[in-house]
Amino acid sequence: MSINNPYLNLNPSHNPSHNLSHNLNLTLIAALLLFISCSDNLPILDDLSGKNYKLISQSEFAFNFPGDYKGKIVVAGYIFTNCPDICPLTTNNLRLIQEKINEAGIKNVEFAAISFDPDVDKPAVLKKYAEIRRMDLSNFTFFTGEKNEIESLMKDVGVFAIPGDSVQTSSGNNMIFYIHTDRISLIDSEGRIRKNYLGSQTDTEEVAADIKELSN
Amino acid sequence: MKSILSILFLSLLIISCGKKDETANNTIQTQQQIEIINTWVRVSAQNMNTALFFEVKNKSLNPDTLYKVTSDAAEIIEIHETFHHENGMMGMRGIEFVEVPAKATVIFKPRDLHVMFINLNNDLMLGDSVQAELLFRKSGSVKISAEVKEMMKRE
Repeated sequence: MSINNPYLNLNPSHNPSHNLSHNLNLTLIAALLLFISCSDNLPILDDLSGKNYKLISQSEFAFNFPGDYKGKIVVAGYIFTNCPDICPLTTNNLRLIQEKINEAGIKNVEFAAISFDPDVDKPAVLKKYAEIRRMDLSNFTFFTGEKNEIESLMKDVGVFAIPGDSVQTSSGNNMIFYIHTDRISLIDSEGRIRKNYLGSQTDTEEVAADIKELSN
Repeated sequence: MKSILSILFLSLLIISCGKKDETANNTIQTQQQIEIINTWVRVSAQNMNTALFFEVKNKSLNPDTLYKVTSDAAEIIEIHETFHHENGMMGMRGIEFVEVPAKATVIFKPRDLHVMFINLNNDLMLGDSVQAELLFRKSGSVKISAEVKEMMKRE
């Protein structure tokens, strides 16, 4: 029995144009599914991928930030070591996130504490700061750099530090206490800032969840 | 004449002894009116800075004022407060004193009031302790010992 209804085609292979359209639809659906599975809810706030700030680690290794981290998710905090309250909290929150991520077995995540007080925070100072706190430096680095590099980086990531109170020690050292942005940034594997958090009050669970989302 | 002088001397002695006892008792009583609990200091390194935290309980019916802290642990010691600046910035500044209202507790805690130890004389390692003296206008001196701690899990 033949079916002559033009609106009903039980054997689409007999219609080449319909077959092409069908394949196209399948391709679009597959692409959409792929896009959904790869996308996340974290917008791109700033793109640092084309920039490389020359930094120096606590171990005096030269480092291009964020270029040398390409392919890795980075959690970066901004500190100065003379800070007695906010910056130790930020450093500790970075450590707590690091512990969570390492415990979860998530690889390819690096942690960075970048000083915005390079006049004081030389590599040896940062090294001592890390040692006294018994930081796990396997995927955690403290950074400083030349003043102009640090200023450019801080400007681009939206971190401000202005001199506040200061004290003079007996050795003639003028210690400046900065009023500064309280921040931790989440940077994706392409060097793009995807989220900022209050550094001293970071919800470490939130950051860990965001890292998992980016790493999927 | 001698007996008069003897009586006068004895009277002065009694008066002075009485005053001494009274002062001593007052000191003990007023010190007991201020209780310092939950003392701790952040881990930090020699020549760096840290912060001392504690709670001041004023049990008396009168307000009191913490105006100074001394310790051999650092070159400079100041009472500080952390404050919010514009655009989400944070800073800290020295303050002259902290009033502790009657029958109240004032908490020195992270992101808030703290005693800043500037230019530490030695490393402050986990488990060490720091001795300090808190000076109140009415209650006088209160000596404390604060344990050096790592950060709390959520401060």
